[in-house]
Order: sequence, then structure tokens, then C-alpha cells
Amino acid sequence: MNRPQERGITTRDVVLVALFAAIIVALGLVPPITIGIVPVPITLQTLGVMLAGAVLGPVRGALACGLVVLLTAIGLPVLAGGRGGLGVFAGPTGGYLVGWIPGALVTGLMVKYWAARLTRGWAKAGAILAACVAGGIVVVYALGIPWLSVSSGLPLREAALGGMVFVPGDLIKAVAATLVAHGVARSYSMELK
Amino acid sequence: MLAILFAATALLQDVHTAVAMLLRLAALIMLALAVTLTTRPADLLEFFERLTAPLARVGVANPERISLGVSLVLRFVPEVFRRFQEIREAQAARGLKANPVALLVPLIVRTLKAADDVADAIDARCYPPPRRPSGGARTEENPT
Repeated sequence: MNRPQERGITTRDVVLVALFAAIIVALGLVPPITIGIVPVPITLQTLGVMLAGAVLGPVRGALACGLVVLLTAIGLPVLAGGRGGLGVFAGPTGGYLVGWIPGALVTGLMVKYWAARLTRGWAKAGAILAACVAGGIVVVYALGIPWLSVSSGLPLREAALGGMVFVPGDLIKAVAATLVAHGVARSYSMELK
Repeated sequence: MLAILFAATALLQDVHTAVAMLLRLAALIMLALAVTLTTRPADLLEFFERLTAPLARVGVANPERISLGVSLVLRFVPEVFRRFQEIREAQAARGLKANPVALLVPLIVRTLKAADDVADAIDARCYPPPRRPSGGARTEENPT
């Protein structure tokens, strides 16, 4: 069969990346869910970022997030609440958005080279959770907070303090992402890439 | 978001810095908004394709793949959302409350399975077209 087979990224990978980017965009359309304990409404979009890394793997996960970032940059309203356009990058939350790409990469790397090799169920779930926290929270905030500080002129310490408001919600999302990734892996096993 | 930031700065520092920050941010966002409002998404996409052209020559990025990806996302957002609502309805009919985990697992599994079909359909149509050794446009310009 004369399939344009390339060593790196196949058509299937492109489709997976695009469909996952579509999931991330669609998660922004879902009405925000409010969970009793935390007063801040939770949009599911960052959940999608953690899932991209955990389900697709580092390269494809980062590409899926990169695709969403590209769509934002060309001005389509793909972010939660119909936001989009270059203004997002100039604004205070731009760093969080750009941080999605390395965030998904780190989550993917940790799941691929650490969590996927563990055999016991609970150890694996714990490793996926750690990967989601490291990639989806630590890495994203590592870009988001300095960006917020630069773009708003807030001192770094205060920007970091302000950013902490979102940590409880993001922790819940990391737990949810772990459960989802675990469930998906059980019913549809796929090679991480 | 801006209002929260303004309030926080005014409380933590003083009103002067807060006003200055607000105006600076507003100017930045307006400038970016001006670009977005006056430029068509297709033109911006072309600009980004040109930006990645050097990478494409090395073989890292592939503009055809990128545009395929972009159009697939646009095509599949409503599809994914429709699927999402289908699953939600099916679960509501069984008396289940909205639970993000129970919603997302079938959504993602279905989407991953659909990806195989879509990839096969794209391959069956031979997209992206195989690249000619010296690039399509140049051979048409000087046929020798």
C-alpha cells in the first residue's frame, strides 16, 4: 500500500492532535461547573491540557495545545468564554495560555516514562496525578506568574500570591484528569508519543 | 479579570500604580485587538505559515500538516460538542447527575476511535499530496 509513511508524525497523529485540540476548545464551551467547596467557577479547559499530555503523550499533547494557542493567535474565539485574538497574549493571562504547551509536554513525559511503566493500579494513578500537577499546575504557573507580573507591573511575589487563588480548582482538575486518563487507558489503550 | 487585577494592585500598592497598570494593559490589549479585528484569520494563518517556513525546510514543521490540523479542529469542535451533549443526555436519561469524569471518559474514547476513521479517510484521499523534489510552483514556472 502506497501510504505516505513518515517516521515522525503520521496522518493519524495529526488527526489525533487536531481532535484533541477540538476537545480542549469544546471544553471551553461547556458551562462552567461550580463545585461546592471552591467558590470560583471551574472551566474545564485546563483539564483538557492535562489530559492532552496524559492521554496522547508528550509530543502530541504539546502539539494539541500548540494548535489551540495558534487558533487563539489567529483570532478565533477558542478560549473559555469566547475569548481569543492577540489581545489574550498581551493581557495578564497570556502566560498561562503559552504555558499549556510545555505543561502538556511535561505531563506527557512523566506519564510516558514513569506512570505507564508502573504496574500496580494505585501507584500508577498516583504517578499520573503527580504528572498532572507537575505539568498542568507547576509548569503552567511557572510561565503564567512571571508573565502576569511583567504585563501588569505587579511585583513577582504578589503576582504569585494572586495566582494561588486558582490552585485549589486546579488541584481538583488534576484529580479529575487522573481519573479520566486512567479510565481512558483502561478502555482504549494507545501508544503514547 | 482586569477589574480584579486593578482592585488587587490598588489594595496592595497604591491607586497611582493601579491606574498606570490598568492603562498600560488596556493599551497593550487594544493594540493586539486592533490587529485581530483588522486582519482576517486566513491572512494571519498565512503569516504564521511563513514564520514556520524555515522550520519546514529543515523538516521539523510541515505547513500542510499545520493547515490540515487547523481545518480539522474547526470541523470537529461542533462534532465534539454534539457528542458531549449526546453523552450528557444519555446519562441524564438514566438519572445521573453531571459528572465531569463520567462525561469525559466516553467522550475521549469515542473521539480517539473516530480519529482512526478520519485518518484512514484522509490517507485514502492521499492528503497531503506527496511533495515533488523541487517544489510544485517552480517546475510550472520554467518547464524545461
